[in-house]
Amino acid sequence: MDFLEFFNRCGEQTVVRGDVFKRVTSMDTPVTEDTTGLDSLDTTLTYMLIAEAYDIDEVEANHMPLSSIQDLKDFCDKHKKRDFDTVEAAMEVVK
Amino acid sequence: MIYMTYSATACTTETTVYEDIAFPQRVHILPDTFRKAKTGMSYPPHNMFNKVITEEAINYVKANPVKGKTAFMLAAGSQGWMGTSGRYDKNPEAELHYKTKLPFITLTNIYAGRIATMFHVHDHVSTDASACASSLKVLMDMQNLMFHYGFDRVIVLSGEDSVCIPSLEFFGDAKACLLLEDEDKRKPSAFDDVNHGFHVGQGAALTIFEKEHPNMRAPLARFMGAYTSAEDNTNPLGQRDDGEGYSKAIEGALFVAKLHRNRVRLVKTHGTGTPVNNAAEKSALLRSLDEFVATSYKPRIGHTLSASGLLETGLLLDDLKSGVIPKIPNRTADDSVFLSEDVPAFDGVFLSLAAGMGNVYSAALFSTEV
Repeated sequence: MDFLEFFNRCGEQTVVRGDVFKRVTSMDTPVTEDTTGLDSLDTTLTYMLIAEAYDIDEVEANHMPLSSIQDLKDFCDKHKKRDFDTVEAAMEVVK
Repeated sequence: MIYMTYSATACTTETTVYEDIAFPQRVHILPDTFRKAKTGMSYPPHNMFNKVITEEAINYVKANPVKGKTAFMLAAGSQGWMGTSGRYDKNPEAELHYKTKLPFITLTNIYAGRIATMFHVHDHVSTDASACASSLKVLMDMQNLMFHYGFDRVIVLSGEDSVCIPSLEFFGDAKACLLLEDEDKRKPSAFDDVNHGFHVGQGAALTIFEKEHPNMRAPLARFMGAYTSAEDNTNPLGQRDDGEGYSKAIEGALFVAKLHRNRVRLVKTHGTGTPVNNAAEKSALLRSLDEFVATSYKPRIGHTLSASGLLETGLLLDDLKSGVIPKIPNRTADDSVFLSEDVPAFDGVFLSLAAGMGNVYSAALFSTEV
């Protein structure tokens, strides 16, 4: 699954105003308001969507990293209890 | 002049039975609103409010800025939605039990700030916790902003998610709503000697009020005035038989609107149908108005709590547009005032009433003559 696209789709679904969301184009991008347009609440909700999709435990989800999209993907790969072949399949779970 | 220019409502006449709870009862729910909310993915009322926060409303506000300021008010009924109570944890895995992973987002003021941002509102954001009177109570605040503080548009979002374990158990324990065990004895109705009481219901309403401007939508109604009163009662959960609170609210609204009591010929009652409210609201109306007809929507859609005042006002406007003032369902006696039959709609001033726990009584006056 294209994790970068999955992150962007979750961010787009979460953010209150679509015009402030910035699609991320590099796995090295850190998750900050400057780079994504997501404020602290949007970021929390986006991470909750990602955790829900991968069925990551709530306690573990509290430690999902903000350092980069790649680090976030690595964390998810380590803790996920399920996976998806396509972004569409993952979005079906969280939409 | 202030006009109501937009009204979107969400509610249902359908009922669903919930038996696996401490006080089994029938409720009016929109099942798809429990998607995700049930597992905590989303804050509980999110999906319900999304039914009324339409692109049409957002685009209208964005595309037609007003000269003065714009406010956003969330008539939430309480400061926080949902919660847990060990007292009622009969079955923590049951449907309707929320497992909210983000407790802070159930604080209504945070939700209000989020939705205000969606509407690009940054002049004023507020929330209201006046229980079931909330959506009419904020109209007193709305007119204050419009008359005294330079506001030209106020967006009111109202609703709370009443169909959840804590709410159903609270109303069931208090015998405020109809339970399954009551169904062979009575049906939901209001101002009736045989049938009385209500089912709890989900509901939300988005309403926009504006001063006249060049690009204003065709008004649905003219807002005339609103007032909210308390009454002299030592029990903040009770209502006086003589309807003092309702009367003071009605008379306050008439004063603000500069209308004589004989101008009001139609009333959308609070109409929960509980014996206490029947007595209080009927006494107040017969004392404070002259000739009128009255209806109630709660026997049809349930008690949508904080949303009920504005939501039911929106439903009444829809019914008036289609030419009918609907009867109060399940009346057992012929009644031409507290309607036992539908009557043809007529233009003019109508009164909307609501009451909330904590001795809160709200009245709002509208005119269909715009």
